[in-house]
Amino acid sequence: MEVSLHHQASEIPLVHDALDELAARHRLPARCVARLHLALEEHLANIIAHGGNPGPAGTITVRFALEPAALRVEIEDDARPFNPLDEPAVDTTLPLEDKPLGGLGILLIRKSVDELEYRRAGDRNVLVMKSRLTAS
Amino acid sequence: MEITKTIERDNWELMVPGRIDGAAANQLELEVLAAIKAGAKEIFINLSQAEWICSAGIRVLLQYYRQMKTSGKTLLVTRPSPGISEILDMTGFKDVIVEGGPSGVAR
Repeated sequence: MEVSLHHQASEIPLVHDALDELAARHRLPARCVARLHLALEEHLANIIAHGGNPGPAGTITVRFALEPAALRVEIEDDARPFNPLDEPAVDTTLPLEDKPLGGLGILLIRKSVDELEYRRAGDRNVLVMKSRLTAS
Repeated sequence: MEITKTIERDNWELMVPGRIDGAAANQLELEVLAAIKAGAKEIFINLSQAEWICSAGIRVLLQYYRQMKTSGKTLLVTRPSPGISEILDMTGFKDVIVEGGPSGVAR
């Protein structure tokens, strides 16, 4: 299953709808699906807010592939090169007053999926998220 | 998504159901600002019916938690669903902004 969107936050729900449809059709475990929704929301919002909007011609493509025990989601975009995995980890143990409010999105992506892989393919960023389909 | 408000004098409860994505986070911020403007001394964000919350939503909670605290008022999350609880825990904010946590207050 594949969904394409423009660099507009108002189009992010198209991706959530596609994941809902896939989850319902294959009865995917609710917790894994909720986490994938969150990871997708964070990554897409980051691309749209910080990727240097390439304009109306720009596209983000999200591909879902069901594997025997996992759901693989590939997000490809034409924003400026950005590898979220290069971002330094947020220290979640700092007292609230010292805690930075940035970097939370990438932290949530890292903790919400089981595998993350980034590559630059030509002029596009490709992030692959993999979530193991376990019921717990 | 519809935020339900329950107001008792200076005490506001905002019930935020479903998925708290970027758009819902903006909506929540507007409701919190309206409560502050109306003179709320305590704002409780009830997340018992929420499924997940994105970083923009967490930033709204923290920003107004800090702002309210600075002026001697309270903003706390109440009754987080298991999904929300887990997400807040991941970020290290759960003990701070959930009612009944070490720095939280009991109602």
